[in-house]
Amino acid sequence: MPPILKVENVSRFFGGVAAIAELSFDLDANQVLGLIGPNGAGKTTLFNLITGFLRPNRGEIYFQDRRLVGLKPHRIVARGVTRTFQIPKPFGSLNCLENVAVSMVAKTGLARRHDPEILRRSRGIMETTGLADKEGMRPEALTQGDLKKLEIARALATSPRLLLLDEPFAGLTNAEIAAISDLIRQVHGQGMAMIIVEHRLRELMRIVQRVVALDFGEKIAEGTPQEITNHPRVIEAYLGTGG
Amino acid sequence: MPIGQARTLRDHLPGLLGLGALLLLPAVVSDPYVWGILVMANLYAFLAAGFDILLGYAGLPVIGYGLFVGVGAYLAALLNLSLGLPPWLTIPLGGLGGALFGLLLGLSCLRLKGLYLALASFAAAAICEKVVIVFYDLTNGHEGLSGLDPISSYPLLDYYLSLLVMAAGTTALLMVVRSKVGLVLNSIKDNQEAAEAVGIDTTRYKLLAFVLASFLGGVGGGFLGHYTMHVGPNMFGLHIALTIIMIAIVGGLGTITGSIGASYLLIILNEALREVGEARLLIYTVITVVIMLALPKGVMPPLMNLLHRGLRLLRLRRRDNWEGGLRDASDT
Amino acid sequence: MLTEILIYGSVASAVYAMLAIGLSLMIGIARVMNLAHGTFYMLGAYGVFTGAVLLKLPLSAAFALSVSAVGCIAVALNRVCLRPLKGNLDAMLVMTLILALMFEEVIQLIFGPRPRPVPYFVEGRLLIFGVSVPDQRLLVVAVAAAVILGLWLFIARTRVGGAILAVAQDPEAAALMGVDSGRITLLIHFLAAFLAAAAGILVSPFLSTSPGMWLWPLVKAFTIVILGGLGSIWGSILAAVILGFSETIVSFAISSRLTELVALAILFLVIILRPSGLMGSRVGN
Repeated sequence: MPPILKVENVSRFFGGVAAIAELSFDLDANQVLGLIGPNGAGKTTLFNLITGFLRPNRGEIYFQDRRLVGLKPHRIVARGVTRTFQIPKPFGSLNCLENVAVSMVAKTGLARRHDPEILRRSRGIMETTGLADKEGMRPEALTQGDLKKLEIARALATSPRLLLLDEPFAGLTNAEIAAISDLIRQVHGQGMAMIIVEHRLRELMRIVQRVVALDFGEKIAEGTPQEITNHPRVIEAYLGTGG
Repeated sequence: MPIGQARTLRDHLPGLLGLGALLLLPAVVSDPYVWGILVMANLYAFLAAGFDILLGYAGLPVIGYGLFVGVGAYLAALLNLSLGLPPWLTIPLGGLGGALFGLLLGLSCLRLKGLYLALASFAAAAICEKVVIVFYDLTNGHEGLSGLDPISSYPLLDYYLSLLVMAAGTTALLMVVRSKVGLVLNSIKDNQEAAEAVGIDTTRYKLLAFVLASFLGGVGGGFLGHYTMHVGPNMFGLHIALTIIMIAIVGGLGTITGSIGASYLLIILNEALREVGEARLLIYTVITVVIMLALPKGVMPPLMNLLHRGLRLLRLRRRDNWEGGLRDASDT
Repeated sequence: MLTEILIYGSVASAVYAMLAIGLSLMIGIARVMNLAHGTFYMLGAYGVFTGAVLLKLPLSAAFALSVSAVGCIAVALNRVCLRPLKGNLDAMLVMTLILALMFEEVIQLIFGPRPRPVPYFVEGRLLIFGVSVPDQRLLVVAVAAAVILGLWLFIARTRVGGAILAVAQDPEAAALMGVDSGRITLLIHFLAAFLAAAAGILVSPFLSTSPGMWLWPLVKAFTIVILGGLGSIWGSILAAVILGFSETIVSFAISSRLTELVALAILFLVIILRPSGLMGSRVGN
């Protein structure tokens, strides 16, 4: 099976400093990839590059063999790649159901707000993500865990083929992490490819098939969770020994 | 208006009652002088509703809204005076002229918001004002152009025509914001980056907001010019734009209908205090400041809340599809 | 004519620098997008008119009274009208603009719509390289330089100034160090209004006072702050000089009626093309 996402020699500089340097990796369809690395390793920058919020200085990114570089974010979402944000960015003046529904309208015509199809699908996603009882609430009333769920729900509502999750566990309790992990497994079970940036390695390793480790924008290791946790350069980067 | 909920008669009742009241108003007040004031109330309601699309829905503080009013007014005046086109043609053409300037301003300011957008739009309006003054031959400079054809020769007809324009404009805007467009514009206002991340073409929707609002601005400017039979460079200026902005704020941003209530409220108040005519703008500003501090959502949402409560007492129940999702003017 | 351009350009630059530095502090440190900044300039001018002309106070007393009164008005406005908006930037923009209009109307009701003349503070003219310059204009440059230098010393050398710098660099860290950012905000309002009022007072003898006089200084101050880049006092001074001289050159070479167009064109183009200004960063919104 050909890879769904190909990142080829991508570099991105900020004022002469490489946030991402000559990075290449592939992602198979229906695979969940963990992306790890210390703070400032370039993980969020990579998400911004894939989803069109930033343009690489060099290199190419292909999704389903079509070039992504140069497309605007909304065009990339239309191709089937959607990301979440590390710090949730809900639409504060909309209620939770509307937060989810707004992700769908970009793909529909000039529908009325009470389009029954959008309502049915939005409710389905609220159900899947465990937010069914939060429909009419404003995001400001949600717990941190529910905000993270809403962030994922909104991304799911764009019907992606590839989902990029930026630290879905950050700031959550163990119970909340377990709930989000279940959600991720469930979504993956429906055939979704994913890249997950996360610092909670123990929890991450349980839900991914493969891991790429970054440090200072470079790929320092790639392999199965087992291989990565024992990889000397990964241990070094995380513990900061040697330098 | 939440998604997933069909509108019932009860939802339309306040609007229908309001329209009925305005239709019958001349039967109660038979003074043509008052009708003239009500024409202005209708026009300012129309213009403020247009501004509401920008600030209330899309979160774009275009304080240079006078740009569109001025362009519409001057275009209508020039077409009327030099080509002899009748008002029913010049006013829509003024609207198109305003929309063109809205599109141009929107395209130049795509990446801007907040302070930068406010200043850029102000500068654009002020530059046009100065340019109009400089091209004396065409525009008669500071004096402006006079002798435009009136809207009609009958004050009562003027009132009904202005009411027609206002009702048509606000109804069209309401239909737009109650479609998915309102939802999308709100999401862009809340967080543009997140809106892009869920696949919304923010450029397209922001330009749509600019074009809609500036079309209304242009139509309003053209109507104003024909009604007063005069256009002047001050129509580009801050005073008229701020009057429009204050009406939108007092009524409640993000409501469209609030502009109608606030426009009539302020106009009636203005008449009640006719002796202090000179202090008109001062009263407007003080009221607006107080409203912004005491009722940040404007006067319309609480009023609608009361009205809905009254209707509930009359047992005209809303068919709720689901609990808790009610989110319209009655929500606080 | 070159000498004239130099002298009149310096006068304009000095006034603009006083306006822009205060505004830059206001936006950069107090995070208030203040469209009522020109109002402080207008109130300063009317304050000195009231003190010196109507109440016949000595000039220095009228000056001191006017700047402190305007400073207090700015502080009161922040407490009553801006704080409740809780950092909602769009609401703040609209609120300050409406306040500016409100003060214009108040002043017009009290003093009437026509310009009110303020007498020269210093009579006489000085001959500089063959150009006769009214002493009043030279006084503007001297006082502006002294006030700006004083402000710089205050910020660079005093404890309170250090607190201002701390808030400017990192509000959260400053709060942890025990700096009360609310009080710093009020202090910034006082200082910014003080500077704007002083500028308004200094120009009142040759520009005379009128209720609408707040608008153009406001536009020019924003032009300078955006051109110079935010939070940079030196950027503001440089941009003030650029604007002051380009306006003077245009008014000598073409027409004085075009000076406003110069500021507007610069403002529009800088925002569209290079919102980060000549130095410094974008406004944080």
